[in-house]
Amino acid sequence: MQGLLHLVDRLSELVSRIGMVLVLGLVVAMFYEVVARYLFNAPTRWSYDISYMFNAGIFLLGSAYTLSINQHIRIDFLSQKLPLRAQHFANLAVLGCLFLPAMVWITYRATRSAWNAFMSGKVEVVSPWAPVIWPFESAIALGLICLCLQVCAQLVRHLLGVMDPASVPGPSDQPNAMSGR
Amino acid sequence: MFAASMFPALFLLIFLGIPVSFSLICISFAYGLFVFDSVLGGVLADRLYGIASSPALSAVPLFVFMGAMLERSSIAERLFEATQMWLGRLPGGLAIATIGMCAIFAASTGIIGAVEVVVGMMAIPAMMKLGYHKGLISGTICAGGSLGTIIPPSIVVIIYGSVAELSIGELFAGIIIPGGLMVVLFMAYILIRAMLRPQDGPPVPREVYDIPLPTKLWRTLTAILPATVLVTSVLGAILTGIASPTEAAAVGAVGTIILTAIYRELSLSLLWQAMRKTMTISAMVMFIVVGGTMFSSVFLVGGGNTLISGAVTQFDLSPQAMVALFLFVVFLLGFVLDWVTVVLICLPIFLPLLRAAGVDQIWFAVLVVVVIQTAYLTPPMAPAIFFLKTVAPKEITYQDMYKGVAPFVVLELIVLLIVIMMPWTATYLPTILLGFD
Repeated sequence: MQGLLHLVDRLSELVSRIGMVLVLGLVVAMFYEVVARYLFNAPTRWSYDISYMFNAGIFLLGSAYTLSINQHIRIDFLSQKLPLRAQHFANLAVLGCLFLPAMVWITYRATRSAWNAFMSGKVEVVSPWAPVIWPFESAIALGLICLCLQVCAQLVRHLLGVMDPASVPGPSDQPNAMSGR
Repeated sequence: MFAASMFPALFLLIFLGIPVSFSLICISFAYGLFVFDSVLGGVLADRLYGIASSPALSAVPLFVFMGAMLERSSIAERLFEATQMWLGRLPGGLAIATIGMCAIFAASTGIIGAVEVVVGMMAIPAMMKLGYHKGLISGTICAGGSLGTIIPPSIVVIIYGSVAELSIGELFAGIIIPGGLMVVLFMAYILIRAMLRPQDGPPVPREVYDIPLPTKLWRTLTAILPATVLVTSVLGAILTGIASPTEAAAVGAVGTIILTAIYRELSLSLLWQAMRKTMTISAMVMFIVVGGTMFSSVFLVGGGNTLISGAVTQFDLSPQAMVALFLFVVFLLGFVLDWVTVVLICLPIFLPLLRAAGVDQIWFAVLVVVVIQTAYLTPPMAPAIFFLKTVAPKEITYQDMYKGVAPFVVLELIVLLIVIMMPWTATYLPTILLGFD
């Protein structure tokens, strides 16, 4: 079980690296546009699309990793007063009954949409650049799939926490948060 | 009633300690099943695509990246050293220098909390050593940290602008006077207090400021000037309408990379850490935006629309009373929730009503930003104090902190009153800078 959980964490981390590279990509792409437009009077056709596509890639591909290091903000000044076991139970119940079904449904829609876009070679019609849309939609789908897997891993952890609170970090702990290897 | 009950349900999940963004999505899902039935999956996915396709929001990671780079470089230390050198001899000089440094630092990053932690780590030990009053130390650091909300570029404003469909450049222009006023009031308060009670904020020892002028100028040139040029060029480009916030942010990001390279601190690991931090903060913020958008669309379609218009006709509020009521709600929510959530769940309800009542959108936005900032600073549940606690030594107690921030909260309320009484403080700059009427 621990091996499986570790595998999901590892996957979240690996996928998040694409998101990290997109951060630098966004900086470079937007800077290039500024130089091209203001210095050489030759604006690119792609910068508008790249800006939102990269931003979406950053936050969606990073979402699973962000959950794995517990950086999705929680307001825990009240819940911290509950016994650890109850905290784990609350997370288990809410994430299991509401969040996971919601995300699986959204992920299903996103994945189907990405697949259709890939099969049909659909392009973005409102953009002068008219890029094919499947890479963008696939990144969204990939991010969401990883998030669903990471939610499952967290559910297992909360379940372990309900059985033995000492065996897993509490919902308010932040393992290796911001250590940023 | 159905739609209205979404709020208590949301608060229940949030206070159970479920991540805020997930709570928003959970409630949208649970209530959405009744409203949208079998098409809910498509509706929620559409909201996600809407946020994922917003070019305005791509300024968020860029400004976060700028801050993450600066946070890890020695720029903050250099700024602190240089501002101390100029302002240190004044009564309360170190605290005044701290506020000045927070202002410059806040203008280069949108990350709330980052300013406070970075500045706190340097300024607290320095002030403790001089025997500063602990309340004054706490108040200075917290108030300085809160400037990140009101001094552009602020992530709060980018999110606000994109939710309310307002020009982000105009909003940035709108918060300049109130933000500047706040810096001046903070500094004036510290100066006057230290003059009346010299034991609260003794000046720094001679050797800090009594150095030859050429050395002084050289340090200023290398420390204060690059950061200031960077900040003013980024803001200037946005405010004069030369570049979009996203483009200006990219220039700022490249500028910080160059600056760290000049200081010989640029390394792969620094860059990698900054990229990772940018990604996690963006994921955290943007997921709240996604969840908040889902929440408000389920709320509005599920009867929230009629609920709001009904409430208005029933209570027949004057525009003034409406603004006061809304700001009070923002303050209460800001007391317990993070600001992204406050903006996202309040705006869809407030904006149509404010528009109908003919309230100036920029003016109201500036008021909201000031209120959010005040809530950030107001005990007992002030994020400012929680951040301070992470960097403060044990000798500074919660008692010191609560008492210490109180005068600064009053100063922020004064700024709020000024903006309420004199709306031109918020609306004048946007008209002249961006040429709107």
